Formats: sequence, C-alpha cells, structure tokens
Amino acid sequence: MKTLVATFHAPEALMRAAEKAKKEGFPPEDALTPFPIEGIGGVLGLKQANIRRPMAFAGFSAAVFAYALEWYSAAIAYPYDSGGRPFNSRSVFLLFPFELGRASSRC
Amino acid sequence: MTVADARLDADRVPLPHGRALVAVSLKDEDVTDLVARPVLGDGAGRGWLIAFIAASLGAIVMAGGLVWLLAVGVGIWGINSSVVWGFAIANYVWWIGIGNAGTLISSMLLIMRQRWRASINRFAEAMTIFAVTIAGIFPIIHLGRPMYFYWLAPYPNTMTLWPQWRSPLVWDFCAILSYLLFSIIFWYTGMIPDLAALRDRARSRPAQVFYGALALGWRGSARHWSAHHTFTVTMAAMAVPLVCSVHSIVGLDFAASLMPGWQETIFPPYFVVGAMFSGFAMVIVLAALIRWGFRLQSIVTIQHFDIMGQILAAAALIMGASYATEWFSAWYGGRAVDRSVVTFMFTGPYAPLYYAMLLFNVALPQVFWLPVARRSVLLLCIVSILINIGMWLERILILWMTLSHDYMPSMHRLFYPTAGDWLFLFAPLAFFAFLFIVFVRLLPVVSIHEVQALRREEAAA
Repeated sequence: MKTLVATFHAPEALMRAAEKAKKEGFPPEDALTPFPIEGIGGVLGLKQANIRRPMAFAGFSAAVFAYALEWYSAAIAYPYDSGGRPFNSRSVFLLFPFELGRASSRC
Repeated sequence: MTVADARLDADRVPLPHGRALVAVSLKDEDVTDLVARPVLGDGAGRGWLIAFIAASLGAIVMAGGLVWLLAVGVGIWGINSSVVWGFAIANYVWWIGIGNAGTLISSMLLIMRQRWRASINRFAEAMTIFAVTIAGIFPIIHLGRPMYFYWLAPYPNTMTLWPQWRSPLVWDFCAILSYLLFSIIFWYTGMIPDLAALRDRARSRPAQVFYGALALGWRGSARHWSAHHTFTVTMAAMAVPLVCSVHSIVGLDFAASLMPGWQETIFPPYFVVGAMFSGFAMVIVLAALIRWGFRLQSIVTIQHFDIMGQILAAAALIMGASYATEWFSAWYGGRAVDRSVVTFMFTGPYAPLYYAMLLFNVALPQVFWLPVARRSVLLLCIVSILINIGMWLERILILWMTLSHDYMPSMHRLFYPTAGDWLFLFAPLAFFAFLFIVFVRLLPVVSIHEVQALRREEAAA
C-alpha cells in the first residue's frame, strides 16, 4: 500500500484536494493543520469523539455519591439538630452534589 | 527560522482599521511569531524584569503577612465583636468576582459564538485561575483556627465527625475547589495546540522538553481537532451554570443568614452580575497592559475595548437596578430593622463610601454609551480601575452596613482598619501581579489557533 503526503498553503486548497481524492476513491487518512478547519471531519468520515457520555456518567455518579454521603453522615452517622432543620435537609444538600458532580465529570 | 531572527518586526505589523477584531493582513505564521516571541525569545526586556522584581517583593510581603497572621491570629485585623467579618471576606468576594469574568469570556461567549473572545480568552482565564487561587486563601485565613480548615472536607476520622453540610463555609469550600479545578483543566486543555506550536518553534532543548511534555503529543490531526472541539464545547456548556453557582454560593453566604440587609433573595444573581462587572473591568486593564507590553495591537484591537466598554455600561445599569431593588424591598418589606439599615447606608458614618461606590459602579460607567469613550483605552482603563475600587467598596460595605447596624443598638460598632487589614488588601494584588508576570513569560498569552481562525473568518467576512 502506498501513502501520499502532500502540503497545502491554504485550507481551501486542502479541502478541495481532500474532497477530490475522496471522490476518486482514495479517501484521505488524516489532515494535520495548525488550526481547526471546518468540514474536514466530514471528508475524513470522522465521528464525534465519545467524550460527553463518560463525562455525564462520571458527573451524575459523583452527584449521587455526594448526596448519599451527605444523607449518611447527617442523618445516620451523626444526626445533629442544627436550628431545628431536618436531618436530611434536601434543598441545601443539593449544593454539594452539584459542585462535586461538575468537578468529577472533568477528571 | 529561529525566534531571535524572526523576520516579523512588531512595529511594522499593520494596525487593524476601524472595527476589525484582528489585522487581516497578518499571516498565520505572523500570529504565531507575535505570541511566541515573548515566550521563546530572549527579548522579555528590562520592563518585564523590573515588573518581575517589584512583584516578587510584593509576593514576599504577602508570604510574610501570612506568617504574621498564622503566628498571631486574626487579632491583627480590625474585626471586633460586632463587625466579625472584615477585609478578609470582602477581599474573598472581590477576588472570586474578578475570576468570574475569565470563565464568562471563555465559556459563555464561546457558546454564544462571540468570535471576539479569541484574542483575550487565554489571559482572561489565567486571570481567573490566579484570582480564584488568591480568593481561596481568605476563607481559610479568616478562620479562628486556620490549621483545622481541612475539617471542611468529608473524610473518615477518629473523631467520627462530619462537615456541617448546612453551613455556607462548606458550600464555599466545594464551590471554590470545583471552580479552581474546572478553570485549570479548561485553561490547560485549550492551550494544548498552542503549547505544541511553541514546542515546534523552541530551539533550546529545555524549552522543547517543557512544551513538548505539556503538549501531550499534539500533532494537529483532524481527529485531535475534532475531539478538542467536542471537549471544549462540552466544558463550556458546563462552565456557565458552574460560574453562576460559584458566585451565587458566595451570595448565599450572606443571604442564608438572618441579618438585615443580607437576607435578600436578590443576593445570588446580584453577586453574579457584580462579579462579571468587576471581572470585565479587570480584563480591560490587563488587556491594555498586555497589548502595550507585548505590542499586540494587531491582535487585541480597539474593537475589543469597544465591546467590553458596552458590557460595562450595560452591567452598570444592572448594578444600579440591584441597588435600587435593595432599597425598594427594604421599604416595601416594611421591617423596621431593614429600613433602618438603608437609612444608615445613606446617612451613617460610612455614607461617603457608599456614595463613592454608587458613583464608581453606576454613574461613571454610563459614559460608555458614547462610542468615543469606549474607543479610548486610557479612559476605559481609568474607569475600570475605579469600578474595581467601587466593587471592593460594595463588598466591604455589605459587611459593614449590616454588622455595624444590626438588631441590637447596644451592639452598634464601627470598623477601623488596621495595618494588617491594609496588608491583606494590597499584598495579594502584588502576588497576583507576580503570578501573572510569570505566566506571560512562560505560556502563550493569546490563543494562537483561535486568533488564526478568527483572522480567516474576518478576512472572509
């Protein structure tokens, strides 16, 4: 199998060449560019990277864990009456899961 | 081509005309040259060195102040049994506010496809990280026993104790941590393509290794760009609620209390707007300094200042509306103690400061409805600095007005700042300058690939 490497000076030229090569039955493998070029992903047949699903999964699991931790520590392990508020203070307990979930989805 | 003999002479770079966001006649490699030269070249110059030494001295003073505080305790400040929160909390709110604008520029404007952000987002994000880092110091040192700050973290311990999840201090802790983590990751991942550009340009071995390691093997492949884009947009979408939540939580530190003048539902949004306002003012000052110091007039243009001036004018109106809402709800709510606090604002001993705050935050920025004023960098810088002073006054007055004038007249006391207070007001500014000065020498201050893309779009438009 032979590989052809070519250099282009303008993104338009690269796009034209890539489209033409694809039409002629030689789909280009990759394009190395100093800045993103719109539409090149379509010519190369790239699928969107699978990033969002793992991020969402990590974020929501961390949020569930955070709420469970709050509930366990404040209602089971060390129930403490703070100004008559319920042990499981649902509304304020949402803050920590929100922040931790956001932090975890990125790591 | 070595950077030292870069053919590009910044003085010869064509200045963009009129409303251009970037000089269209720049070539792609010119953009890289302009940004990479201060980092890779030996031409940081005497100005940088003098600024570095001055800021380092300030950073040493800051370190000394921290040692003093930890050795003696919060008694070095002017806080008393009525005004239990002083400069430390005002500084904390102010620094977090400064940080917010960087995230706003990098994420909200990205989602809204505001292309002009490309030239300024990198250093605005750096500003965010440094400001949040400094902000994070204050909640720790304002504690009576700062050595136990880690009790805020939920961890299994021999005392079988857990954090008090209903406490705003715990909310602050997780909000700042989450925000800092986010800012660092977003900043770094956005920079990877530019770090690769620096790696490819670096001539010395240490620089190649340093930027090469940080660039994580970036080759500019279409696959890289695609993943980078997906990740950036996803992060930006997450950032917007995050940045609003962070300053909302700071607002809740006050609003969740039962104090007159604090227990107001408007506090979280009012804090978010105030944060963006002061942060944008800071970005304007930093943009002017960077543009002048690194001669980036072809990348950071008058048009950028014009747009930011418009944002200041609009935000100032919202600030005015927020203040007016406070007065109105105190009157309309009918509680004597709330009305008394508002009267105290306008007629009490702190009133001159309150009028100064209204002048700086609401009245002066209205000049930016005039296009001429927005296109004067000097005027923008002066008003921006005054806005930052005004926003600091706002935060300290929120504390003083309420704490000096709460329910019990027998508890009414004023706050008198001490040397320790002034130290912790000014030394962090020097520490911030120190971090920023190191940053501009080590990392690209402007996003190279985004400016290149912006230039192409501008040329096509």
